[in-house]
Amino acid sequence: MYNAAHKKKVVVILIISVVAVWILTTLTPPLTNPPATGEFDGPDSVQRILKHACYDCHSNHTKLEWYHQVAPLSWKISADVLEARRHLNFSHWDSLSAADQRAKLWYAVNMVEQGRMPRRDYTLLHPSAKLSEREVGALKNYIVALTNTSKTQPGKPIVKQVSDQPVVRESPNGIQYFSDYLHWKVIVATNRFDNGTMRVIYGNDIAVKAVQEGNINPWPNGAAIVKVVWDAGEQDADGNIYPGAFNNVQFMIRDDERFKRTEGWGFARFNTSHLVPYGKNVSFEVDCMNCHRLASANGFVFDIPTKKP
Amino acid sequence: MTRMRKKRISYIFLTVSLSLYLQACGDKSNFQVSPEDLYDSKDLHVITTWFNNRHQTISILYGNEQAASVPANDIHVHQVGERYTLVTWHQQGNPLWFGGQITGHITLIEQVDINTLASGAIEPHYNVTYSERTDSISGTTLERERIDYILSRKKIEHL
Ligand code: HEC
Ligand code: HEC
Repeated sequence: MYNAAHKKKVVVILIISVVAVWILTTLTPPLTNPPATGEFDGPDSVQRILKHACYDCHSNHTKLEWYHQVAPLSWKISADVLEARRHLNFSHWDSLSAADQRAKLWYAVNMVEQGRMPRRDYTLLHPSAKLSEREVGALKNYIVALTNTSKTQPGKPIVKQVSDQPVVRESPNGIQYFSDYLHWKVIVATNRFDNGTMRVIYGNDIAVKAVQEGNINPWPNGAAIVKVVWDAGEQDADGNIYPGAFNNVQFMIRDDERFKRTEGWGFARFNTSHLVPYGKNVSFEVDCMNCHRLASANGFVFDIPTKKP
Repeated sequence: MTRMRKKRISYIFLTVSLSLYLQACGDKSNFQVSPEDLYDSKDLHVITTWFNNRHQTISILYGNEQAASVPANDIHVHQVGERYTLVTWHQQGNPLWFGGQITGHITLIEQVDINTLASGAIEPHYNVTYSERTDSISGTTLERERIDYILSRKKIEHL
């Protein structure tokens, strides 16, 4: 069947492809490991877990095999690592405030617990990077202990009323602050021991009906959810903890056309009693959405009443 | 020919089982929506909220228009017609976020109405409109305590 001419053709094609890959590879700037400015400095047991499972992407200690450096695979890996470092880099840990460090670690623990990190395309090739239940438990214990030892002063309640001020507050994506939620129903109330806050989550009629009918995958257009956040304040003798200072208010508004980029949810956040819109530019909402993917089972909403079966 | 097909079938099989496996790993929804725990407050407004880690409860105090419009820092003489409804839920971990606590099922609903007696005097009236326990609040001193507690809550700072 195979004659000499045929063989020659195959060899030529092979050589051409090898050369092409070689050229592409040498033309691609290699992924480098810039010097670290300040490394994550948790206990050894925690460092060991993160180094093993996360540092290839989330630090300046990326270890690459030879085949990772061959185009076109190298392009994808470079892009992933650069993006991962932009979101979370344990080698620039000192660039975050203590509170932001804790927030990242809580985020990390929840990503890991739901099996979203390390990424699946990574664990397919590095199965040992998947964390065991014991390792997840170790991370949880660490972050809970860290949070407990860094408890800040309870916030002082402010009694200033600003609702009468005729201000217009607009988020970078065009969503404006409104106070209609004061007349909406409460979907749930929550509190967070990860950041010492307490919240009331309101829904408009469409959102409340969606919960009542279990119609949340996806949520109907027009649904709106507002979360009001206070610092956890004073505790009385019976252990009741009351709201302290107003912290922020956050909106999620459903419009699958207008907010296509973020799965149909428009996000907005207004900080402090001055209601300062959050986000330097419109891309802030992508970060909101990324974390809300952890709630994809509930149409990207964390706070709905649920029952464990 | 048949070898090709076999190969293709096993390839499809591999892809399908791999994606099923991946899906199973991602699906952690070991809970169900429970609409009955969303309290239908009708036209009541939120006055304030609190939580208690000792009792594992979260509460919201609602009031009708009249009760909810009492300013936060007012030394207030209660007026006839005010209605206060205190809803208490069991507090549970948020199944989707380690680090968060969320209202679970409703355990108790208490109500205080400011009424007038035949004599013209003003009197708060207390009753439990729902309780999951049968041995809940009863006896006049306990009732008195609950009324005092509920009526002395300060309105939350809202914007
Ligand atoms: C294969 C590369 C890779 C590995 C390994 C990896 N991640 Fe990521 N991670 C990413 C990328 C890319 C992003 C940004 C886009 C996204 O959210 O998917 C990210 C985002 C995150 C975020 C969101 C950060 C933010 O503020 O937006 C957290 C938290 C996180 N990863 C934690 C971890 C932890 C913890 C591990 C180890 C257990 C880990 N990751 C392992 C690639 C990786
Ligand atoms: C690191 C993860 C994370 C990020 C980033 C994030 N959220 Fe959330 N969000 C949560 C969690 C967890 C809850 C539920 C727990 C609670 O009550 O706080 C929540 C709840 C909410 C709710 C109430 C409805 C619901 O989903 O439960 C709104 C509204 C909301 N977030 C808006 C925003 C906005 C706006 C942003 C961006 C400015 C944002 N979130 C960014 C984690 C995140």
